[in-house]
Amino acid sequence: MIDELSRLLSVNGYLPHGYCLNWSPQLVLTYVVSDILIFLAYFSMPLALAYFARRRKDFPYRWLLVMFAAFIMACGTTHLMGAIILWRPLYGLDALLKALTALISVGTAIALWPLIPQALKLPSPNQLRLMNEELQKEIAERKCAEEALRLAKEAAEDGLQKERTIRAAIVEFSEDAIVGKTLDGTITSWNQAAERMFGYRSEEIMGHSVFMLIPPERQADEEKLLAAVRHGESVKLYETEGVHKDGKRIAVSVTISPIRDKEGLIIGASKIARDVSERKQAEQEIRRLNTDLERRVAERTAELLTANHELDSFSYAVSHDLRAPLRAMCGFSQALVEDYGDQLQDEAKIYLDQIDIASRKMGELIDALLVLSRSTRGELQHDAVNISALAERLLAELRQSEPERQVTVQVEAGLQADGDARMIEVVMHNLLANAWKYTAHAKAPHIRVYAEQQDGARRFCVADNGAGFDMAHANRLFQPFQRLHRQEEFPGIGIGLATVQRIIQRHGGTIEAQAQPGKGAVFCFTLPDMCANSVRDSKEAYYES
Amino acid sequence: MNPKTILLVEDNPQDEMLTLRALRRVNLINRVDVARDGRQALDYLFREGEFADRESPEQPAVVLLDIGLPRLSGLEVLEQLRADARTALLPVVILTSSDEEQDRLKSYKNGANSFVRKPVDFTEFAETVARLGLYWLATNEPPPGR
Repeated sequence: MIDELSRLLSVNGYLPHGYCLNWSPQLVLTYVVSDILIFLAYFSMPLALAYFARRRKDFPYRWLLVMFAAFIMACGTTHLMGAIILWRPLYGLDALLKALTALISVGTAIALWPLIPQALKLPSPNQLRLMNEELQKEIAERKCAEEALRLAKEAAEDGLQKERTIRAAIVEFSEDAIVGKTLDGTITSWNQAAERMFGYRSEEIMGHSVFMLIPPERQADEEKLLAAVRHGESVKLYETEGVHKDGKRIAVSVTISPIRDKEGLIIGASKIARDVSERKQAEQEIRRLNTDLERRVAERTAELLTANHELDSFSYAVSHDLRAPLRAMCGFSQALVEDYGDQLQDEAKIYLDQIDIASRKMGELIDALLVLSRSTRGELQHDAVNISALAERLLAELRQSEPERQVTVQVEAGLQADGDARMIEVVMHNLLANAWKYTAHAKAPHIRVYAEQQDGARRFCVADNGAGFDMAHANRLFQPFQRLHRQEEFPGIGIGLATVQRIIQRHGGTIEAQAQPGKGAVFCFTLPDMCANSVRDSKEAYYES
Repeated sequence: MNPKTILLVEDNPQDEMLTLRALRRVNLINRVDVARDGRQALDYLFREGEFADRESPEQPAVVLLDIGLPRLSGLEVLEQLRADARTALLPVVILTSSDEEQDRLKSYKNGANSFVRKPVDFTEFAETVARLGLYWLATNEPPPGR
């Protein structure tokens, strides 16, 4: 075997390969240069592969790289041998090397073929690029979504935070004391208003019992409120008392409602307390003022009552005591004429007549005064008065008293008023009697009764075309015993319009006159709804009782 | 038959004179007794005080009673008359200057049989008094005696 090998490697017996080429320098050179360059190139390749393998540790077919390196180095060696054998005929070694190379090449080729399908599955760089781009895009989108999600989350958290802050601020800065407590009354929340109202700072009071804010006699109230809350009820604007840290009592209005957890279980109570001390004080002040006012009204009423009693006594005295002397004057002067007429001279009889006339006149004045004084007394009745019917009746009476007079009358139908029927009759009687009297000298006497609207008020009017009067004296018109005409023109005592005005005023109304001398006069009065006068009426009723 | 009488209760002498004159003119003057205040009127009717031994056994046919009287007012006199069984049914006419509604109301409430206002006019007054006298003495039948 050794011999065989040494024979194979022996140079003896063969000619160098250059002989075959006749040592042609071109050929030999070309061979040598080419073989050496190939050898170098082939041996550089495994270096590149090794470098590749080192950098790409993930390359799956590392053994193939080894085989390829072996195969290509074997090939390179055969080319080196080719250059050597130009000069040294080591054909045995060359053949051996070639055989080895063939072995490695065939092995590599065999190993390579089954790899092809697997290798094909490996993505090509182009595919990889596309996939990569796809992946990049996806990543970008994901990132985008994540960013949006993050922003949304931040915004939501921000909003929630803000809302919480606002809610907390609403509670904290409320003007009402807002106190949270457990169902047994332990304080769990305490705002600034509570601090101001009760004087305890939050850290002093938290965890303590709400009962320390409640006066002893009100503790039962608090128990009741807490019991209501335990039953899920709210209690609104309950007025009670609290105690300040310094012991001062505070009037409070309390609204208490249950606090529930997410499951709806009642876990505590919120109590909103408002300091109503000022309002209470104001109420007390109002009560005091009212009492004072009532006292003053009572005093004034008593005074008025006294004054009214005096007036009553006065009217009574007038009615009784002033009439008797008149009757005596009138009576005895007539008795004198009747019993001793034959002894009296005519002139004496005339004088006695004057006494009679004067006493009758005074009797009328007294009667008129009594009517005036009565129109200021007595309870006002609330009647529905048919002014039209009343006027028609009074005019008919006047016509009957002087059937010879031709007076046209015109009464608007359906005139209705609220008032004391008897007093309104006095009013209408006076106004119509005046109209009747003062049209005595008119050519075509005319009396009209109607209603009109003025300044939003309904006015009832009695108009005539009689003597009228000068408006310059209008202010004296409604004063008692003031007359704008002489007795011989129009007889009268001047008490009628004073009575009329007094009655209208008692009804809360007003009366006005318009006139022109020789052209007539119109008297208009208002009668507001009686209910507006009920206060005055009831007071007057009181005087009467 | 016992002569019927009138009791005039009047404090004003002039009114008294005028009333008596009017009654005289219808021939009723001898049958009029006069009391000048409320107390006296009650004494007369109850036969007390100065009237304890009043001759006439009969009560008057009518009492003409003024309201404005000294000591006891006419309304108080009326009240006491009505409260006493002896005079509860005695005809009483209120004759007064007053035309006060309250007086009229109280008079009737207290059981007056009539309310007459004294007219200021003399002629009217004389006629009224005469009519009253005649009516209560001649026309009216008194309540049955006990």
